[in-house]
Amino acid sequence: MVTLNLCLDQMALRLAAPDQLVGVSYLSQDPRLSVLADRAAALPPVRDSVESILILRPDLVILGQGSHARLKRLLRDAGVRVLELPWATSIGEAETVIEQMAAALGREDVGRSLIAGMREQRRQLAWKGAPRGTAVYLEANRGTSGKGSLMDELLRLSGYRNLASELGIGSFGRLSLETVLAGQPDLVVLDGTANDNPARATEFVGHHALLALAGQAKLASVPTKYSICAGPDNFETMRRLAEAGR
Amino acid sequence: MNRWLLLLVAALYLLSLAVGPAWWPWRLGNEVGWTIVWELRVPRATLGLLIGGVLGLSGAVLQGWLRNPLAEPGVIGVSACAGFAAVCAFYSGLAAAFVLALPLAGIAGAAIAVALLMGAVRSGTGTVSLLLMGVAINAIAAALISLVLALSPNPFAYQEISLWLAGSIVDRDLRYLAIAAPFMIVGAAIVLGAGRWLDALSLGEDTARSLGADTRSLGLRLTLGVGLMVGAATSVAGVIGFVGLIAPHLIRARVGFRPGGTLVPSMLVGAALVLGADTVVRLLPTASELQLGVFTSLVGAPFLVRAVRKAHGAWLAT
Repeated sequence: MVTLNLCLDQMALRLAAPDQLVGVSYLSQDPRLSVLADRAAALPPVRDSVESILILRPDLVILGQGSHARLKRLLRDAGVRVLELPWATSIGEAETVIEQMAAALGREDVGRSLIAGMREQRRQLAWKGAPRGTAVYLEANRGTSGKGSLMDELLRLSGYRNLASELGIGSFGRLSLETVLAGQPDLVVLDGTANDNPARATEFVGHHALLALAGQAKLASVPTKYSICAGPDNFETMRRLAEAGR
Repeated sequence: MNRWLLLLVAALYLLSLAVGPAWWPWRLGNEVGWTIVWELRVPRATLGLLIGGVLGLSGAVLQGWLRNPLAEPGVIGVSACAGFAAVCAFYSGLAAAFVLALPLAGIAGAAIAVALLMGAVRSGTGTVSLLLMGVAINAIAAALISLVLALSPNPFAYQEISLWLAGSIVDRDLRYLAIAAPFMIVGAAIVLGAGRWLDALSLGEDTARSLGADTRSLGLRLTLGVGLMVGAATSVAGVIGFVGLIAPHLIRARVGFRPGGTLVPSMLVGAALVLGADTVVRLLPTASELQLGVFTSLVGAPFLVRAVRKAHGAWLAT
């Protein structure tokens, strides 16, 4: 079997038996994006080209819904089974995807224990009680996550109201730093390591104005790899949010 | 006229401080409001003022010097070349290690482009070769910028190309102002003193020489001045096009077509244009804020078309 997107890779690396998985997408080998980068490094990286997939001789290719139609057709023409799984944007959806993938691999028991572990962590980490404040998530190019996004759910589970959602922003939108400051959030969530390789998109991490806000708001640094995919890694995000909120 | 222009610039500067997505930050009544004004709006408005000023001034200098009303840092590739050098400094991590690397790289890039263009003009082939040289420099710089960004390990770098090339002064903090402003001011001082010689140059290089101009050192001086101004401006804001084209055109007829006389008014008009444009992009109801350079191009490119048509090939033929 081969998986073709970062988030499906992460699940496959957890669910598959050692000899079941013969390739994952090249993104999974990037330690900034992938929690299981070292495990992925042992497998051949796959790009979105049919040739690089077929050379691995998979029986099954798992890819995200919305993958290119030509890719799917070429794979089917070559006699490879194709399974399309939806893009999960919440922990609940991730559980469904895990169930589906586990069934396709014949590893239902592993899937069930993974989901049970997730539910247990969620129960332990969820904030009980009234919301403790507002939070805002800042990503590259002044992006933020509002209503319907995974980060929105994680903030809510951790006991925060999401400033971006309250400003009417959808699952992805943009917020100017000015609006962020004027909203006076209690917690600012960002990837503090994002600008280690400098880019204009991510240089806001060191912006003076944010540092000034730090006097009033708490700052949580959550590496992108813990929040980019819905799944078991999200609890690391919640753990860091809880730690920052203390 | 200069007095009115100064008033206009001052008014637009104050407007730029007062307008933004958070509207009246002082109503918050605490440090956060103060932070919004001081850390976000003051750098933005001041950068707009300085960058607009030096772009307008550079346009006036280049137009007078190259004796060509289409010369403009963006059109002839000076900004793009400065942008490439700044991108190199930024993504290589050099700018993070040494703060002045960013403006210095931009200045070097701009100066190299000016020198290349001057070489093309010296060889005496006129407007067409100047503009073609500009096309070539723009193309090379754009390709090299894409290459450098593709090589950067930051996953967002490559997506930034379009944003970077479009130019913006959003969310720059005081550090950017501190590293770029001195270079822009020094560059402006260098070329402002050369107005008299620009008038002489408008009569042709030989005539200028017979009037006592040292054309060689004047060329170096103007190259250095334009390099400092455009390089420093581009290294913090990206490419903001057409300001240098529009500003001298708006006032040329009012100063009796003397290139030296266009310098100060062009600077003021440039500052007013950028401050005004930057305020407008903040107020436009677009989903995410329009890039400043996109806006100036939207307004400026038709202006270029008009300038070319009005010329009826008069100088295009030379």
